[in-house]
Amino acid sequence: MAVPSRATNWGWEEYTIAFPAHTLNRVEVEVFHELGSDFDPRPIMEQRLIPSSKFPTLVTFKSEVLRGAAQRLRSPEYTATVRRRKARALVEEMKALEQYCEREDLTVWTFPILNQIKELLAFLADADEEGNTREILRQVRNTLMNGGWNRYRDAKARITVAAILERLANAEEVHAEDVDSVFDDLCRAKLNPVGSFLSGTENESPDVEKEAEVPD
Amino acid sequence: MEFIRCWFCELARIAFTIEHLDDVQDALVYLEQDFSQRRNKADIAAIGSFVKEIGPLRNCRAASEEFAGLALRWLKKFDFLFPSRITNLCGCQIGGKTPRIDYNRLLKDLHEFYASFSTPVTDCEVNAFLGLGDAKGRAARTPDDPAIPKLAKSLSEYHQKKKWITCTECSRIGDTIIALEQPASWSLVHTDHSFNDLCRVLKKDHVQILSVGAIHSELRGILKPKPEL
Repeated sequence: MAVPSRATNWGWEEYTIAFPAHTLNRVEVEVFHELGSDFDPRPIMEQRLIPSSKFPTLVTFKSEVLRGAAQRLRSPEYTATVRRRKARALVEEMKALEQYCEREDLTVWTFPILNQIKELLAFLADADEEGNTREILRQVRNTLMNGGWNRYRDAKARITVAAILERLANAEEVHAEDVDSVFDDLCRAKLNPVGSFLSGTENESPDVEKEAEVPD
Repeated sequence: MEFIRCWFCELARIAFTIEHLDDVQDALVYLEQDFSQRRNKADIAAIGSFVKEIGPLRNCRAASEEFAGLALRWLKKFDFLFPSRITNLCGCQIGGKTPRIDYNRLLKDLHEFYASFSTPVTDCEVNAFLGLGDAKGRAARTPDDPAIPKLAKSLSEYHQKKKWITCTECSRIGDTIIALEQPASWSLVHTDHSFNDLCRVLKKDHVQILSVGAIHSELRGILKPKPEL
């Protein structure tokens, strides 16, 4: 602790001063940071008015991060709730696509759907119980990409995808069988759920490539 | 079986490899260097472009799921396009396998399938199908034609050594087995030019689908024929 030094005419000297414990004023400042589901940092300000005293005041500042709320918010139930809500919004967007299906700028109107699917995929990325949902969303996403959006001019395609999204909007849980049936439904509607295809490279016979001395 | 071995398993391998690296871009670079076959390098580059198209890759888990999902969709599409199957004359025990996947446990289920598919079958009926070492077996009756020297050589050597083959050896003579197994009433549709000679020698009906490169070469030959010497 530094105190003014009369001897050095307002210079500062270091002293160690011990105070009996019962003479200290003590103030504790506790700050609790509650994390929301998005883990966004939020500044928190706390103020204490410490009255003047002839004895020093010991201020203990204690900060604690509470994850419980965030963990509850990322529970399977919560994630499923968000999935249903966002899928419901996608159903409405898909139905609304009908009014744009004749337009040349169709991609302008499929863009929000594609974007929302990507956002929902990102939101569900770490949800262990939504793996089947993610695969269905990937399949629907792939149908919109690489020219696939033109297929959405056809009413059957829109109806099929709307029905798929409707299932996501209603299901408590999404199962592996749902993934298989969605794939079949999309193929029957002449949509491409696969994604990138194999490139047309010249193939050599794998037998020739692996040709080696025949071991005993 | 060839489709699973050549394409499906390689995509699955990419998915598992990405899980071992911290960054997706690094994973793709590593894989491009690691794959030795030129055609697979090109496809990995194409796949890499696709993965970049679908948006920023948030993390390796998302990327590995994309590759794993892509492999499974390829396989589904393949089965969707080719629902009919010929009789499994050669007795292959792995070609007809279908992965059973719960996407909530995608990588684990995929790994189970991959491991089971990659484990060589040691008691395969393909040995009986080929009759290796049997003077009256199919292997003995396969013509030793100079047009198919490399393909015939492996089969001939297995036959002479009366070798008991597993999936490891079978993969070296896969094309020959495909051609031998083909029913007479079916036409083998292929992209691999080695089947041209193989099917001709075995007197099997076939159709080759040319690659884009091969079509371009053919067109060049027609439009700009080489002068006769």
